[in-house]
Amino acid sequence: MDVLGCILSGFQVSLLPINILYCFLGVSYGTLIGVLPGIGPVGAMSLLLPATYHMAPTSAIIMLSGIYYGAMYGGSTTSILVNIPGEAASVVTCLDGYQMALKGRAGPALGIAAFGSFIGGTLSIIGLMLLANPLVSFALNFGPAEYFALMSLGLTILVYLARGSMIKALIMAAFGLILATVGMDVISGQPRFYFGRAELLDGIDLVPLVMGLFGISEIFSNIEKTLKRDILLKGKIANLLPTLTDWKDSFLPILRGTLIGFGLGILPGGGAMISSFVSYGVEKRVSKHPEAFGQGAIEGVAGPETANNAGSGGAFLPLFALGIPSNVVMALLLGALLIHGIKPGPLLLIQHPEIFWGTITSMYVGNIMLLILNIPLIGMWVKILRVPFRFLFPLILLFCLIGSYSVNQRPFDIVLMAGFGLIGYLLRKLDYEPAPLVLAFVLGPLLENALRQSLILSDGSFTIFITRPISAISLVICLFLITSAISPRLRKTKKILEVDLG
Amino acid sequence: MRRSKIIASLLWILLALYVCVTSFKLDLGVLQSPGPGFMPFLSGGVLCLLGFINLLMEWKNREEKLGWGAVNWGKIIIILIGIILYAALLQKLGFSFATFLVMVLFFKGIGTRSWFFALLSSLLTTLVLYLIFEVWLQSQFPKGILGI
Repeated sequence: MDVLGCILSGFQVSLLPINILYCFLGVSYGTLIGVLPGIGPVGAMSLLLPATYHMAPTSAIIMLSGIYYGAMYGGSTTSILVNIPGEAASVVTCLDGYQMALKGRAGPALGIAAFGSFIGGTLSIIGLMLLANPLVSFALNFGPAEYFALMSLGLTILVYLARGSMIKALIMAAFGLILATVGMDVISGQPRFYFGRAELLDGIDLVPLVMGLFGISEIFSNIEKTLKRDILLKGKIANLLPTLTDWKDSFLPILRGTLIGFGLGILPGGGAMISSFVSYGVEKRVSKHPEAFGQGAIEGVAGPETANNAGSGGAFLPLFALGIPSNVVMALLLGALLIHGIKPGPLLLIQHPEIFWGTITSMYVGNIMLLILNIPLIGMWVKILRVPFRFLFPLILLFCLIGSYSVNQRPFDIVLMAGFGLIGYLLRKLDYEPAPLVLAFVLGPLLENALRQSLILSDGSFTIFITRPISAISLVICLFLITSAISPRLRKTKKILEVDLG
Repeated sequence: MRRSKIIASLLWILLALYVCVTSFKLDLGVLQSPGPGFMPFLSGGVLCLLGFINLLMEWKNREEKLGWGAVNWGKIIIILIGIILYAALLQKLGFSFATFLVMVLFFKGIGTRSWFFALLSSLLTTLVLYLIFEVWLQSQFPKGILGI
């Protein structure tokens, strides 16, 4: 089927009233999560994951995807008004957005962030549509060796980009792989590491793990801080529509942000966060007035905000076309698809085209909804920002409790979540990032199957990973990144690229 | 903090050794047909090696002066107690009553100082959740001995 036919069939799915409703719920909830510091899109998606079990797979993915790119929109509001990033990808927006607000230009900053996000998000969806079919055709030639190597590459890049020590990030990945082996071995049927508990025979469920590591542990971290929230503008925020001069200054940053965001988003390890950081760096480098950055330059808002939405769109491509999640958020979506009995990958477009094209076209709808939600409803989001944390945290805890129980209706999952919450908090204190753990946990069973199948096919020889070109190139890059942790000069490069993955 | 990081490295090594020994008993198989213990053994081996490298790095790092920071153990323990109690009481007392009790603990323990506000907020939250989950969604949450 040609691309136009696929797009039209996708709209037939995404414009169903029920899917429009779920898209709206997802983007609204995502915007709310983006506005509120204290919980990011990963924690937010994990809270809603159990609720998606009773939905059709397409509706579930539409809603969960909406949370991700909705959070990118919402994060800019707190960055600009309060100088506190709502989520990690909006950190750079604080640098110039807040300065613009201090100069009485909060309205244009919010406006250009919303329009830039819309343009970046929409153009990245077009990129997704055009690249999906060619990439899928290419990926149909992949065997288990290629999958093993590409998944290892994705995991290695995420480990490389994690803040702090790469050894610690690798430890997290190894720990995640070990946790993934708990339960029954799929091939032999033998139970592993279940400690006599029937609840562990099916393995550790993703929801209590992620809720604990990202929800509960975040709350533990946040209750020790007293976040000073001086909401900048007590009255109405005016002039949300940028002026012609603002558009003139933002036009090229928005275009560059789209390309940077999409290009980095589709790479394993990429996504919204690294896209926004790189975009800010590029805008500062090419600007005729780099000294203006950090003092309220609109380019410092337009570029990163466009890039983070373009990056969030691009990140869907490796997941849907190859079945390989490029970051933790995509790993959660992979988990959600597997729970619904659907394995993403090249065959997804053939066996379940409605999921791919339905989700992609719903992003158009979602981006329009977000523009409407973010421009006129800024006042409402500002009011929500004023809700004290002492009311929010108990409610977030309650969502975690209900969410983890509703997975299997077992109190055991609640206790598991608490355990991972404490572990996650201690790990953060000791400078371990939980993101590589989650990605390794989700990829673990797939990695194990790919590795075992490769060795069976090659009659026990590891040369299969070297003789196949894509596998060889991927593993060489992995080796380079890991050994770069040892070289002092290359370690400096890593320090520049580090991002907060949580 | 340096001591805590060294202890953490030792714990990783111990965990890795446990995983390797257990995987060995599970059956590693042969390279032509890897068994159920193969992947955990490999992961455990890698973790053990990384644990040793991390231990050496933490041991050599004598400049570390930062402590644990402002850890609010009191509130963390309250939250953990609340979660464990919820797990223990949910099926006995039922969704609504267990939720009310744990919300009182959370609101009072980590939120407001006022008992009145904690009780009122917990009651309102429980009521809203009852309407959403029991009345609207007809969820199969336990009703407990009180039948609500």
